[in-house]
Amino acid sequence: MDEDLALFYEDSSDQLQNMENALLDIIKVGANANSVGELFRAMHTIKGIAGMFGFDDIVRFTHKAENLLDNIRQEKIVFSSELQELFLLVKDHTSKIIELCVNEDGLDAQSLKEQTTLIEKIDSVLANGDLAQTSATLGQNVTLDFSELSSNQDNDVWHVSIRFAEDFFTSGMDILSIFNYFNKMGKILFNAPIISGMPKIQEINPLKTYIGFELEFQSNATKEDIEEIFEFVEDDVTLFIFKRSDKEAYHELFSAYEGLQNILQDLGQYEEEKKTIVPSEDVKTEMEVPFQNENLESDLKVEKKELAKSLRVDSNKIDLLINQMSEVVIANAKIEALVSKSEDSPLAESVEELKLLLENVRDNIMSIRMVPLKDSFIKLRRIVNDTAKKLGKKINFVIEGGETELDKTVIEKISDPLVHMLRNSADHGVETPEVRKSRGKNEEGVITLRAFADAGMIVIEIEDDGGGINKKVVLQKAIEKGIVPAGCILTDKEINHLIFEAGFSTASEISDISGRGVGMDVVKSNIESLRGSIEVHSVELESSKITIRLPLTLAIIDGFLVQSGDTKYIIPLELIRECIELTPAMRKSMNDNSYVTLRGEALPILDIRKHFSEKSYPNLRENVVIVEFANELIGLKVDELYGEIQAVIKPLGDIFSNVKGLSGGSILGSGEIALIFDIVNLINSKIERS
Amino acid sequence: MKIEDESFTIYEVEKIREEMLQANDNVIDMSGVKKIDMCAIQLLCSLKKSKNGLSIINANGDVLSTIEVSGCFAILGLRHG
Repeated sequence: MDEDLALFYEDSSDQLQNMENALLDIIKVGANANSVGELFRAMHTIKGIAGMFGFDDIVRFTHKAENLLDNIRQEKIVFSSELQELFLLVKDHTSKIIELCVNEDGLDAQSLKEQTTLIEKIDSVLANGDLAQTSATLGQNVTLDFSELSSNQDNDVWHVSIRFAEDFFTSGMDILSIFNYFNKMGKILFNAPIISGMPKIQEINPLKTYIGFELEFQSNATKEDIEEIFEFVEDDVTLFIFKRSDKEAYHELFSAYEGLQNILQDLGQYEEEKKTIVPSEDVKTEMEVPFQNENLESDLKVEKKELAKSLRVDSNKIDLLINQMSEVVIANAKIEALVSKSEDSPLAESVEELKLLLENVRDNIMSIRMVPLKDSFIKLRRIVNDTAKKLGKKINFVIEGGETELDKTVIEKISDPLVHMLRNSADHGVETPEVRKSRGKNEEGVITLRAFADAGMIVIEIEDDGGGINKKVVLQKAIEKGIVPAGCILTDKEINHLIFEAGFSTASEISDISGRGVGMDVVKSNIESLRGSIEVHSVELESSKITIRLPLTLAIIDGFLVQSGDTKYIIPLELIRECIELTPAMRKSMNDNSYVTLRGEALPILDIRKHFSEKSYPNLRENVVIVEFANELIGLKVDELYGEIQAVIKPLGDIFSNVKGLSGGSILGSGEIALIFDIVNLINSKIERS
Repeated sequence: MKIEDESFTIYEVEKIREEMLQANDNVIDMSGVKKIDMCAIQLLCSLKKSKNGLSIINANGDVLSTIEVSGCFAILGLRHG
């Protein structure tokens, strides 16, 4: 299976699983906006991606289901128990046709019949508002059978292209054992070593790996099975694995390796003889083609990566290591707390030394999980290109800062949001060539995906030079949809942020790529669940830019411990600009306002004691910790400042899920619990209250 | 030139490459070699690329089988029997 198809299959399976879970919840406790939204999102996402692959059957079917769900969402149709049953069948049928489509089998007669029956039922509900007329037969005509997935014999032959990292030999791996695996799994029909990049004996460094291979391999194995052969060396090989019948994949291969097409064409004439391995004189001559063509010396254009020696480790082991490191940090904090009470200075010195060492170990352990964004960014290129092609637009997709590193878990979690946002940029942002021309722009639009580190966080920006956000239209739609009351006055920023509201969509025509009003609200909640933030900036007719800020890591942070009332709080250290004592003069100047004047500038103050309804003790000294986030400064008024601390983030559980402004808890050396501020939400709630 | 080492693998390639350069011979006698790996096969390919008339002779059955598995049999101009 093609890699992108495999991703589509995996993503769709997840979406369908979510759909099934939501349906089961609906059956158990009844429908609500969230559960219906989950069903809608599943159908919408699958429709969008299927559309890019040209799976019209899936698009047609999911579009129907989506229409019905839209009506349910708008409360035009009641989600009856018959409809619950219908949507379970819709889910199963979607799963079946996805499987058929990704296996390139197309819909068989039975599937088509099932699809027609289900569409008729959906149409009937849409027309009549209920299933009364059709419910009697529901479930009888529609039986689902997965056993008919036939395999085509010609589909059993794979082409496998292998190139190795330069230090592959010295990594201790044996290429011959790879071929042995292939022989266990099937039959190598043809194996052409590629030596055009290999230096002559006078120049060769015999320890470096120059040889590559083009194999034809017959087996009923899947692409994943073949990839598994390389499981332990996947960072040290460049692979192309595709069915021999896949002409498009050959083109991709040839565009990666210049000159390879000629070599394979020449060798292809002798394919039958290669199968018997014993070569004739003629075969020998043909196999020597690479030697004779000196131009091929530089033909391997695949990027030569600077691959350091690497060791593949099960990610569970790393997670375990991080968890244990977290416990070590907590245990060390206990020791520090005990030592601070004693007067044993040599012991205090040793503990301080140990603390510094532990900080280093912690940083190094956390860095194991850090991977460059490049790989996940590159996968997005296809999505932008396909969307552009489908919409008849010209888009140049630029990636900047791909080498920026981020925690692997975070990267995995932002992958879907990035897909949503890029599709939105391509669909709603960049204009068609005609419109762009009429606006005096270059016919080709530019979407830039950029990553960089800033103040202890990673910033990801998606910028396009399209039409920007039309504020009038956005506001009007928001009023129509009841998101904001009519006649309300909003700032430009507030209007821009309406796109993150659930159920918001401005597309006048609903397309199969985006424009149903799902996505951006989910994007926002996904980013926020990672302790990140999302901002949108737009200049009408010129450009729009979405800025995502994410923490470097999810497990341990450097924090600053403070106390307000009876509770200890931790502020992420990288956000702190300075700490000041709230002098009586300042307090007086505040005059019950929630800001102070600091060096001639107004600084908004959030009183943590009031915000979290902490106990108030009279005559306490008050301090202000000034934090900066996304160019906003805010002062947090607290009672005590304790200083720097390493905080292991622990989730707070459901009971705290509605408390805005807290991202987790941490256990202190004394055994006490400290709460960790979610500065973004704190700032937002301060703005809302103001 | 005869390769004297029984094992012709990644551990010997640097030494054997030096010997090949010094000998500058068109015939490589593999009769003494009992074990070969891909790193060594790559060195032979590089030598073959540098010398079109190169002959590799007297390789034993195991060595030939290994070269067969590697797919380099024809490139090195080898034949069974």
